Amino acid sequence: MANRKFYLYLTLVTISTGFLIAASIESTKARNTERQNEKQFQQETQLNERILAEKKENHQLEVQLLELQRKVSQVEEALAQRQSEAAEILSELEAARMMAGVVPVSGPGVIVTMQDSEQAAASADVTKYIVHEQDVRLMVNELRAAGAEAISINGQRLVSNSEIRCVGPTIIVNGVKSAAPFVITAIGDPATMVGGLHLPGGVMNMLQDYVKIDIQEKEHVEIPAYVGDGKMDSSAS
Amino acid sequence: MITKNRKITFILSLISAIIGIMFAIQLKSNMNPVPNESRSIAELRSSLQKELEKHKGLLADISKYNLLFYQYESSLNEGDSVSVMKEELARAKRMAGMVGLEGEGTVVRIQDAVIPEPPPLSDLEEHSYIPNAVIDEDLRWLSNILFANGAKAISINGHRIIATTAIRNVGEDIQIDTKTIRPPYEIKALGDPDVLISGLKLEGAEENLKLAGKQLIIEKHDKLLIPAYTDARVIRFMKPVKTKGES
Repeated sequence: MANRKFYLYLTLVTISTGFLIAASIESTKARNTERQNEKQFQQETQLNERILAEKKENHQLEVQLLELQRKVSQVEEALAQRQSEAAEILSELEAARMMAGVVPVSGPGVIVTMQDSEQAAASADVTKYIVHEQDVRLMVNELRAAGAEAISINGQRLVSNSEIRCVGPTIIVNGVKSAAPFVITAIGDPATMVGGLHLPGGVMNMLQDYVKIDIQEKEHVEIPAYVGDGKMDSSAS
Repeated sequence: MITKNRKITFILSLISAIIGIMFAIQLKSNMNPVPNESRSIAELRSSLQKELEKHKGLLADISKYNLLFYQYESSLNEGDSVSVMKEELARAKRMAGMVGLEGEGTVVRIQDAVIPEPPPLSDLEEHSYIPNAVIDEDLRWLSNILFANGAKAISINGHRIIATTAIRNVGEDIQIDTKTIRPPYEIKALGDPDVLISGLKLEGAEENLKLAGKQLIIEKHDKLLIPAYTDARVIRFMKPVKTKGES
Protein backbone atom coordinates (compact mmCIF):
# COMPACT_ATOMS: atom_id res chain seq x y z
CA MET A 1 0.00 0.00 0.00
CA ALA A 2 2.79 2.36 0.94
CA ASN A 3 4.48 1.33 -2.24
CA ARG A 4 1.42 2.34 -4.32
CA LYS A 5 1.29 5.73 -2.73
CA PHE A 6 4.94 6.16 -3.42
CA TYR A 7 4.38 5.46 -7.10
CA LEU A 8 1.60 7.97 -7.23
CA TYR A 9 3.70 10.67 -5.67
CA LEU A 10 6.59 9.83 -7.91
CA THR A 11 4.40 10.12 -10.96
CA LEU A 12 3.07 13.48 -9.87
CA VAL A 13 6.47 14.85 -9.04
CA THR A 14 8.08 13.71 -12.26
CA ILE A 15 5.21 15.04 -14.33
CA SER A 16 5.55 18.43 -12.76
CA THR A 17 9.31 18.33 -13.15
CA GLY A 18 8.91 17.59 -16.82
CA PHE A 19 6.39 20.38 -17.10
CA LEU A 20 8.72 22.83 -15.46
CA ILE A 21 11.64 21.87 -17.65
CA ALA A 22 9.63 22.21 -20.83
CA ALA A 23 8.05 25.47 -19.75
CA SER A 24 11.36 27.03 -18.85
CA ILE A 25 12.94 25.97 -22.13
CA GLU A 26 10.01 27.36 -24.04
CA SER A 27 10.02 30.63 -22.22
CA THR A 28 13.73 31.25 -22.65
CA LYS A 29 13.36 30.50 -26.32
CA ALA A 30 10.42 32.86 -26.56
CA ARG A 31 12.35 35.55 -24.75
CA ASN A 32 15.18 35.22 -27.20
CA THR A 33 12.97 35.62 -30.23
CA GLU A 34 11.16 38.41 -28.49
CA ARG A 35 14.38 40.28 -28.05
CA GLN A 36 15.05 39.81 -31.72
CA ASN A 37 11.61 40.97 -32.66
CA GLU A 38 11.63 43.89 -30.35
CA LYS A 39 13.82 45.99 -32.59
CA GLN A 40 11.68 45.20 -35.57
CA PHE A 41 8.58 45.86 -33.60
CA GLN A 42 9.84 49.25 -32.52
CA GLN A 43 10.66 50.10 -36.07
CA GLU A 44 7.20 49.07 -37.15
CA THR A 45 5.44 51.13 -34.53
CA GLN A 46 7.60 54.07 -35.39
CA LEU A 47 6.70 53.74 -39.04
CA ASN A 48 3.04 53.30 -38.22
CA GLU A 49 3.07 56.40 -36.10
CA ARG A 50 4.73 58.39 -38.81
CA ILE A 51 2.22 57.19 -41.37
CA LEU A 52 -0.66 58.15 -39.12
CA ALA A 53 0.80 61.56 -38.40
CA GLU A 54 1.43 62.10 -42.08
CA LYS A 55 -2.11 61.09 -42.95
CA LYS A 56 -3.50 63.49 -40.41
CA GLU A 57 -1.37 66.29 -41.70
CA ASN A 58 -2.31 65.51 -45.29
CA HIS A 59 -5.94 65.67 -44.35
CA GLN A 60 -5.42 69.09 -42.82
CA LEU A 61 -3.58 70.18 -45.92
CA GLU A 62 -6.45 68.94 -48.06
CA VAL A 63 -8.89 71.01 -46.06
CA GLN A 64 -6.57 73.97 -46.35
CA LEU A 65 -6.31 73.50 -50.09
CA LEU A 66 -10.08 73.36 -50.50
CA GLU A 67 -10.40 76.51 -48.43
CA LEU A 68 -7.84 78.23 -50.58
CA GLN A 69 -9.53 77.09 -53.78
CA ARG A 70 -12.77 78.51 -52.50
CA LYS A 71 -11.13 81.81 -51.68
CA VAL A 72 -9.61 81.99 -55.13
CA SER A 73 -12.88 81.21 -56.83
CA GLN A 74 -14.61 83.87 -54.72
CA VAL A 75 -12.14 86.43 -55.95
CA GLU A 76 -12.59 85.20 -59.47
CA GLU A 77 -16.35 85.35 -59.24
CA ALA A 78 -16.26 88.84 -57.80
CA LEU A 79 -14.06 89.86 -60.66
CA ALA A 80 -16.37 88.23 -63.15
CA GLN A 81 -19.31 90.16 -61.82
CA ARG A 82 -17.57 93.44 -62.32
CA GLN A 83 -16.19 92.74 -65.72
CA SER A 84 -17.69 90.91 -68.65
CA GLU A 85 -14.34 89.87 -70.06
CA ALA A 86 -13.47 88.21 -66.80
CA ALA A 87 -16.80 86.42 -66.79
CA GLU A 88 -16.05 84.84 -70.13
CA ILE A 89 -12.63 83.73 -69.03
CA LEU A 90 -14.00 82.41 -65.78
CA SER A 91 -16.45 80.06 -67.41
CA GLU A 92 -13.69 78.81 -69.64
CA LEU A 93 -11.38 78.49 -66.68
CA GLU A 94 -13.88 76.51 -64.68
CA ALA A 95 -14.41 74.11 -67.56
CA ALA A 96 -10.67 73.72 -68.08
CA ARG A 97 -10.09 73.08 -64.39
CA MET A 98 -12.77 70.44 -64.29
CA MET A 99 -11.38 68.74 -67.36
CA ALA A 100 -7.85 68.95 -66.01
CA GLY A 101 -9.12 67.33 -62.84
CA VAL A 102 -7.70 69.91 -60.45
CA VAL A 103 -11.01 70.65 -58.76
CA PRO A 104 -13.39 68.18 -57.14
CA VAL A 105 -16.56 67.72 -59.17
CA SER A 106 -20.04 66.33 -58.60
CA GLY A 107 -22.96 65.33 -60.72
CA PRO A 108 -25.09 62.37 -61.78
CA GLY A 109 -23.25 59.21 -62.64
CA VAL A 110 -22.57 55.59 -61.92
CA ILE A 111 -20.55 53.64 -59.41
CA VAL A 112 -19.08 50.42 -60.73
CA THR A 113 -17.56 47.97 -58.28
CA MET A 114 -15.32 45.25 -59.65
CA GLN A 115 -14.29 42.30 -57.54
CA ASP A 116 -12.74 38.91 -57.97
CA SER A 117 -15.34 36.25 -58.52
CA GLU A 118 -16.13 33.95 -55.61
CA GLN A 119 -15.52 31.05 -57.92
CA ALA A 120 -11.87 32.02 -58.10
CA ALA A 121 -10.85 29.92 -55.12
CA ALA A 122 -12.72 26.88 -56.30
CA SER A 123 -11.70 27.07 -59.91
CA ALA A 124 -8.67 25.31 -61.28
CA ASP A 125 -7.83 28.33 -63.38
CA VAL A 126 -7.73 31.07 -60.82
CA THR A 127 -6.51 33.75 -63.17
CA LYS A 128 -9.74 33.53 -65.12
CA TYR A 129 -11.80 34.75 -62.22
CA ILE A 130 -9.80 37.66 -60.86
CA VAL A 131 -9.90 41.26 -61.95
CA HIS A 132 -6.99 42.19 -64.18
CA GLU A 133 -5.75 45.61 -65.03
CA GLN A 134 -6.99 45.24 -68.57
CA ASP A 135 -10.47 44.56 -67.21
CA VAL A 136 -10.39 47.79 -65.27
CA ARG A 137 -9.02 49.62 -68.30
CA LEU A 138 -11.72 48.10 -70.46
CA MET A 139 -14.39 49.24 -68.03
CA VAL A 140 -12.95 52.73 -67.82
CA ASN A 141 -12.60 52.88 -71.59
CA GLU A 142 -16.21 51.91 -72.05
CA LEU A 143 -17.37 54.52 -69.55
CA ARG A 144 -15.36 57.11 -71.43
CA ALA A 145 -16.87 56.02 -74.70
CA ALA A 146 -20.31 56.39 -73.13
CA GLY A 147 -19.54 60.00 -72.36
CA ALA A 148 -18.14 59.97 -68.85
CA GLU A 149 -16.87 63.42 -68.03
CA ALA A 150 -14.84 62.58 -64.94
CA ILE A 151 -13.73 59.23 -63.57
CA SER A 152 -12.04 58.11 -60.39
CA ILE A 153 -10.82 54.70 -59.31
CA ASN A 154 -10.74 54.09 -55.57
CA GLY A 155 -10.74 57.83 -55.02
CA GLN A 156 -8.01 58.62 -57.52
CA ARG A 157 -9.09 61.03 -60.20
CA LEU A 158 -8.11 59.99 -63.69
CA VAL A 159 -6.33 62.82 -65.46
CA SER A 160 -4.84 63.06 -68.91
CA ASN A 161 -1.72 61.12 -67.95
CA SER A 162 -3.04 58.65 -65.38
CA GLU A 163 -1.98 55.04 -65.49
CA ILE A 164 -3.90 51.99 -64.32
CA ARG A 165 -1.72 49.16 -63.11
CA CYS A 166 -2.24 46.08 -61.05
CA VAL A 167 0.34 44.51 -58.81
CA GLY A 168 -0.98 41.41 -57.17
CA PRO A 169 -4.32 42.18 -55.56
CA THR A 170 -3.74 45.92 -55.56
CA ILE A 171 -4.31 48.59 -58.15
CA ILE A 172 -2.08 51.57 -58.75
CA VAL A 173 -3.56 54.75 -60.14
CA ASN A 174 -1.60 58.00 -60.25
CA GLY A 175 1.12 56.17 -58.36
CA VAL A 176 -1.20 55.50 -55.42
CA LYS A 177 -1.84 51.93 -54.41
CA SER A 178 -5.17 50.65 -53.15
CA ALA A 179 -6.73 47.26 -52.60
CA ALA A 180 -9.74 45.48 -54.05
CA PRO A 181 -12.64 45.99 -54.51
CA PHE A 182 -12.04 48.44 -57.29
CA VAL A 183 -14.63 51.18 -57.17
CA ILE A 184 -14.91 53.18 -60.36
CA THR A 185 -16.92 56.36 -60.07
CA ALA A 186 -17.93 58.20 -63.22
CA ILE A 187 -19.90 61.37 -63.86
CA GLY A 188 -22.03 61.51 -66.96
CA ASP A 189 -25.44 60.47 -68.16
CA PRO A 190 -26.20 57.41 -66.00
CA ALA A 191 -28.58 55.83 -68.50
CA THR A 192 -26.15 56.15 -71.38
CA MET A 193 -23.28 54.77 -69.38
CA VAL A 194 -25.21 51.81 -68.01
CA GLY A 195 -26.60 51.18 -71.49
CA GLY A 196 -23.11 51.32 -72.94
CA LEU A 197 -21.82 48.78 -70.49
CA HIS A 198 -24.67 46.40 -71.21
CA LEU A 199 -24.42 46.52 -74.98
CA PRO A 200 -24.37 43.07 -76.55
CA GLY A 201 -20.73 42.15 -76.90
CA GLY A 202 -19.90 44.92 -74.50
CA VAL A 203 -18.03 44.92 -71.26
CA MET A 204 -20.67 43.24 -69.15
CA ASN A 205 -21.02 40.52 -71.74
CA MET A 206 -17.32 39.91 -71.69
CA LEU A 207 -16.63 40.16 -68.01
CA GLN A 208 -19.66 39.30 -65.97
CA ASP A 209 -19.12 35.55 -66.15
CA TYR A 210 -15.66 35.91 -64.73
CA VAL A 211 -15.63 38.76 -62.26
CA LYS A 212 -18.16 40.25 -59.91
CA ILE A 213 -19.41 43.57 -61.20
CA ASP A 214 -21.93 45.76 -59.50
CA ILE A 215 -23.30 48.81 -61.28
CA GLN A 216 -25.27 51.49 -59.51
CA GLU A 217 -26.88 54.52 -61.07
CA LYS A 218 -26.63 57.54 -58.85
CA GLU A 219 -28.24 60.95 -58.93
CA HIS A 220 -25.25 62.47 -57.30
CA VAL A 221 -21.67 61.32 -57.05
CA GLU A 222 -18.59 63.22 -56.07
CA ILE A 223 -15.16 62.80 -57.56
CA PRO A 224 -12.13 64.24 -55.80
CA ALA A 225 -9.52 66.42 -57.43
CA TYR A 226 -6.19 65.16 -58.58
CA VAL A 227 -3.60 66.15 -56.04
CA GLY A 228 -0.18 67.35 -57.01
CA ASP A 229 0.25 68.23 -60.64
CA GLY A 230 4.00 68.47 -60.46
CA LYS A 231 4.33 65.95 -63.25
CA MET A 232 2.52 68.19 -65.67
CA ASP A 233 3.91 71.49 -64.55
CA SER A 234 7.47 70.44 -65.02
CA SER A 235 6.72 70.07 -68.68
CA ALA A 236 5.92 73.72 -68.98
CA SER A 237 7.49 74.81 -72.20
CA MET B 1 12.04 -8.19 -6.41
CA ILE B 2 13.72 -5.02 -5.44
CA THR B 3 15.45 -4.62 -8.76
CA LYS B 4 12.20 -5.16 -10.58
CA ASN B 5 10.61 -2.56 -8.39
CA ARG B 6 13.39 -0.14 -9.20
CA LYS B 7 12.97 -0.72 -12.86
CA ILE B 8 9.27 0.00 -12.72
CA THR B 9 9.90 3.15 -10.78
CA PHE B 10 12.46 4.26 -13.30
CA ILE B 11 10.27 3.60 -16.28
CA LEU B 12 7.35 5.25 -14.62
CA SER B 13 9.35 8.36 -13.85
CA LEU B 14 10.58 8.53 -17.40
CA ILE B 15 7.14 8.14 -18.89
CA SER B 16 5.56 10.65 -16.60
CA ALA B 17 8.33 13.14 -17.27
CA ILE B 18 7.68 12.79 -20.99
CA ILE B 19 3.97 13.23 -20.45
CA GLY B 20 4.70 16.33 -18.40
CA ILE B 21 6.82 17.81 -21.13
CA MET B 22 4.14 17.07 -23.70
CA PHE B 23 1.55 18.75 -21.55
CA ALA B 24 3.69 21.80 -21.14
CA ILE B 25 4.40 22.13 -24.84
CA GLN B 26 0.79 21.68 -25.75
CA LEU B 27 -0.26 24.25 -23.21
CA LYS B 28 2.31 26.70 -24.51
CA SER B 29 1.33 26.32 -28.10
CA ASN B 30 -2.34 26.56 -27.27
CA MET B 31 -2.01 29.55 -25.04
CA ASN B 32 -0.51 32.06 -27.40
CA PRO B 33 -1.37 31.63 -31.05
CA VAL B 34 1.52 33.97 -31.88
CA PRO B 35 0.02 37.32 -32.83
CA ASN B 36 2.06 37.65 -35.96
CA GLU B 37 -0.01 40.23 -37.79
CA SER B 38 2.76 42.76 -38.11
CA ARG B 39 3.09 43.83 -41.70
CA SER B 40 6.46 43.86 -43.25
CA ILE B 41 8.59 46.90 -42.72
CA ALA B 42 9.11 47.30 -46.43
CA GLU B 43 5.39 47.65 -46.99
CA LEU B 44 5.01 50.16 -44.20
CA ARG B 45 7.88 52.11 -45.60
CA SER B 46 6.33 52.23 -49.03
CA SER B 47 3.01 53.45 -47.69
CA LEU B 48 4.83 56.11 -45.72
CA GLN B 49 6.57 57.08 -48.91
CA LYS B 50 3.22 57.43 -50.65
CA GLU B 51 1.94 59.67 -47.89
CA LEU B 52 5.05 61.80 -48.06
CA GLU B 53 4.62 62.15 -51.80
CA LYS B 54 1.03 63.17 -51.32
CA HIS B 55 2.17 65.65 -48.73
CA LYS B 56 4.58 67.15 -51.20
CA GLY B 57 1.90 67.32 -53.87
CA LEU B 58 -0.52 68.99 -51.52
CA LEU B 59 2.06 71.53 -50.44
CA ALA B 60 2.84 72.29 -54.08
CA ASP B 61 -0.84 72.75 -54.83
CA ILE B 62 -1.32 74.96 -51.82
CA SER B 63 1.61 77.17 -52.64
CA LYS B 64 0.36 77.49 -56.19
CA TYR B 65 -3.08 78.57 -55.08
CA ASN B 66 -1.53 80.84 -52.49
CA LEU B 67 0.48 82.51 -55.19
CA LEU B 68 -2.58 82.82 -57.37
CA PHE B 69 -4.57 84.33 -54.55
CA TYR B 70 -1.76 86.74 -53.80
CA GLN B 71 -1.55 87.72 -57.44
CA TYR B 72 -5.27 88.45 -57.53
CA GLU B 73 -5.09 90.45 -54.35
CA SER B 74 -2.10 92.47 -55.35
CA SER B 75 -3.21 93.34 -58.85
CA LEU B 76 -3.46 97.06 -59.07
CA ASN B 77 -6.32 97.22 -61.46
CA GLU B 78 -8.89 94.93 -62.97
CA GLY B 79 -6.92 94.52 -66.14
CA ASP B 80 -4.14 93.01 -64.13
CA SER B 81 -6.50 90.60 -62.44
CA VAL B 82 -7.86 89.53 -65.77
CA SER B 83 -4.39 88.79 -67.03
CA VAL B 84 -3.71 86.72 -63.93
CA MET B 85 -6.87 84.82 -64.71
CA LYS B 86 -5.75 84.31 -68.26
CA GLU B 87 -2.49 82.83 -67.06
CA GLU B 88 -4.35 80.51 -64.78
CA LEU B 89 -6.58 79.51 -67.66
CA ALA B 90 -3.54 78.67 -69.77
CA ARG B 91 -2.18 76.49 -66.97
CA ALA B 92 -5.46 74.64 -66.50
CA LYS B 93 -5.72 74.11 -70.24
CA ARG B 94 -2.23 72.69 -70.33
CA MET B 95 -3.16 70.21 -67.67
CA ALA B 96 -6.36 69.29 -69.43
CA GLY B 97 -4.44 68.56 -72.60
CA MET B 98 -5.92 71.41 -74.59
CA VAL B 99 -2.51 72.88 -75.33
CA GLY B 100 0.19 71.35 -77.48
CA LEU B 101 3.36 70.39 -75.65
CA GLU B 102 6.93 70.16 -76.76
CA GLY B 103 9.86 68.32 -75.25
CA GLU B 104 11.94 65.19 -75.38
CA GLY B 105 10.25 61.87 -75.73
CA THR B 106 9.81 58.70 -77.72
CA VAL B 107 7.95 57.67 -80.80
CA VAL B 108 6.67 54.12 -80.94
CA ARG B 109 5.61 52.85 -84.32
CA ILE B 110 3.76 49.60 -84.79
CA GLN B 111 4.52 48.04 -88.15
CA ASP B 112 3.97 44.71 -89.81
CA ALA B 113 6.92 42.55 -89.00
CA VAL B 114 9.21 42.07 -91.95
CA ILE B 115 9.73 38.40 -92.50
CA PRO B 116 13.18 38.11 -94.04
CA GLU B 117 12.55 34.93 -96.00
CA PRO B 118 9.59 32.65 -96.38
CA PRO B 119 10.11 29.87 -93.86
CA PRO B 120 10.06 26.25 -95.07
CA LEU B 121 6.65 24.83 -95.66
CA SER B 122 6.68 22.36 -92.82
CA ASP B 123 7.58 25.14 -90.46
CA LEU B 124 4.79 27.25 -91.77
CA GLU B 125 2.27 24.54 -91.19
CA GLU B 126 3.46 23.97 -87.70
CA HIS B 127 2.94 27.49 -86.48
CA SER B 128 0.71 28.81 -89.17
CA TYR B 129 0.43 32.22 -87.71
CA ILE B 130 -1.97 34.78 -88.95
CA PRO B 131 -0.85 38.34 -88.68
CA ASN B 132 -3.48 39.67 -86.32
CA ALA B 133 -4.57 43.21 -86.43
CA VAL B 134 -3.57 45.50 -83.62
CA ILE B 135 -6.51 45.84 -81.29
CA ASP B 136 -7.64 48.63 -79.06
CA GLU B 137 -6.30 46.94 -75.93
CA ASP B 138 -2.82 46.88 -77.47
CA LEU B 139 -2.89 50.64 -77.83
CA ARG B 140 -4.37 51.11 -74.38
CA TRP B 141 -1.77 48.77 -72.95
CA LEU B 142 1.13 50.53 -74.63
CA SER B 143 -0.01 54.00 -73.64
CA ASN B 144 -0.63 52.77 -70.11
CA ILE B 145 2.95 51.50 -69.88
CA LEU B 146 4.19 54.85 -71.14
CA PHE B 147 2.07 56.75 -68.63
CA ALA B 148 3.24 54.48 -65.83
CA ASN B 149 6.80 55.33 -66.74
CA GLY B 150 6.24 59.03 -66.46
CA ALA B 151 4.89 60.09 -69.83
CA LYS B 152 3.42 63.56 -69.51
CA ALA B 153 1.39 63.52 -72.67
CA ILE B 154 0.62 61.01 -75.40
CA SER B 155 -0.85 61.24 -78.83
CA ILE B 156 -1.76 58.36 -81.10
CA ASN B 157 -1.66 59.09 -84.82
CA GLY B 158 -1.86 62.75 -84.01
CA HIS B 159 -4.79 62.49 -81.61
CA ARG B 160 -4.05 63.66 -78.11
CA ILE B 161 -5.04 61.33 -75.30
CA ILE B 162 -6.80 63.19 -72.49
CA ALA B 163 -8.61 62.12 -69.33
CA THR B 164 -11.78 61.18 -71.18
CA THR B 165 -10.32 59.64 -74.32
CA ALA B 166 -11.72 56.25 -75.27
CA ILE B 167 -9.73 53.94 -77.52
CA ARG B 168 -11.90 51.23 -78.94
CA ASN B 169 -12.42 48.84 -81.77
CA VAL B 170 -15.25 49.79 -84.05
CA GLY B 171 -15.61 47.12 -86.64
CA GLU B 172 -12.25 46.60 -88.28
CA ASP B 173 -10.89 49.94 -87.27
CA ILE B 174 -9.78 51.56 -84.09
CA GLN B 175 -11.39 54.79 -83.03
CA ILE B 176 -9.89 57.34 -80.74
CA ASP B 177 -12.84 59.17 -79.30
CA THR B 178 -14.83 59.39 -82.51
CA LYS B 179 -12.00 59.56 -84.98
CA THR B 180 -10.98 56.50 -86.90
CA ILE B 181 -7.28 55.83 -87.10
CA ARG B 182 -5.58 53.46 -89.47
CA PRO B 183 -2.32 51.57 -89.36
CA PRO B 184 0.55 52.14 -89.15
CA TYR B 185 -0.05 53.32 -85.63
CA GLU B 186 2.28 55.82 -84.14
CA ILE B 187 2.34 56.65 -80.46
CA LYS B 188 4.17 59.78 -79.41
CA ALA B 189 4.98 60.17 -75.75
CA LEU B 190 6.55 63.07 -73.93
CA GLY B 191 8.87 62.19 -71.09
CA ASP B 192 12.34 60.92 -70.30
CA PRO B 193 13.03 58.75 -73.36
CA ASP B 194 15.34 56.35 -71.55
CA VAL B 195 12.81 55.66 -68.84
CA LEU B 196 9.99 55.27 -71.34
CA ILE B 197 11.95 52.89 -73.53
CA SER B 198 13.20 50.77 -70.66
CA GLY B 199 9.64 50.62 -69.36
CA LEU B 200 8.46 49.22 -72.68
CA LYS B 201 11.32 46.73 -72.75
CA LEU B 202 10.63 45.62 -69.20
CA GLU B 203 7.02 44.89 -70.00
CA GLY B 204 8.04 42.89 -73.01
CA ALA B 205 6.07 45.06 -75.39
CA GLU B 206 8.21 44.12 -78.35
CA GLU B 207 7.93 40.39 -77.78
CA ASN B 208 4.23 40.60 -77.13
CA LEU B 209 3.49 42.35 -80.39
CA LYS B 210 5.87 40.11 -82.26
CA LEU B 211 3.44 37.33 -81.49
CA ALA B 212 0.81 39.31 -83.32
CA GLY B 213 3.14 39.62 -86.29
CA LYS B 214 3.95 43.22 -85.53
CA GLN B 215 7.16 45.02 -85.01
CA LEU B 216 7.74 47.91 -82.66
CA ILE B 217 10.03 50.63 -83.82
CA ILE B 218 11.04 52.77 -80.91
CA GLU B 219 12.83 56.04 -81.45
CA LYS B 220 14.27 58.62 -79.12
CA HIS B 221 13.55 62.23 -79.92
CA ASP B 222 15.02 65.35 -78.41
CA LYS B 223 12.23 67.46 -79.68
CA LEU B 224 8.77 66.10 -79.97
CA LEU B 225 5.55 67.96 -80.50
CA ILE B 226 2.38 66.56 -79.00
CA PRO B 227 -0.65 68.25 -80.49
CA ALA B 228 -3.43 69.74 -78.41
CA TYR B 229 -6.78 68.12 -77.95
CA THR B 230 -8.87 70.08 -80.36
CA ASP B 231 -12.45 68.88 -80.00
CA ALA B 232 -14.75 71.16 -78.13
CA ARG B 233 -16.13 69.15 -75.25
CA VAL B 234 -19.40 70.26 -73.83
CA ILE B 235 -19.62 69.69 -70.12
CA ARG B 236 -23.15 68.72 -69.32
CA PHE B 237 -23.11 66.82 -66.09
CA MET B 238 -20.26 67.70 -63.83
CA LYS B 239 -20.10 70.76 -61.65
CA PRO B 240 -17.28 71.93 -59.44
CA VAL B 241 -17.85 71.14 -55.78
CA LYS B 242 -18.06 74.40 -53.93
CA THR B 243 -19.66 73.39 -50.69
CA LYS B 244 -17.62 72.98 -47.57
CA GLY B 245 -15.85 69.84 -48.57
CA GLU B 246 -14.86 67.29 -46.03
CA SER B 247 -12.75 65.09 -48.18
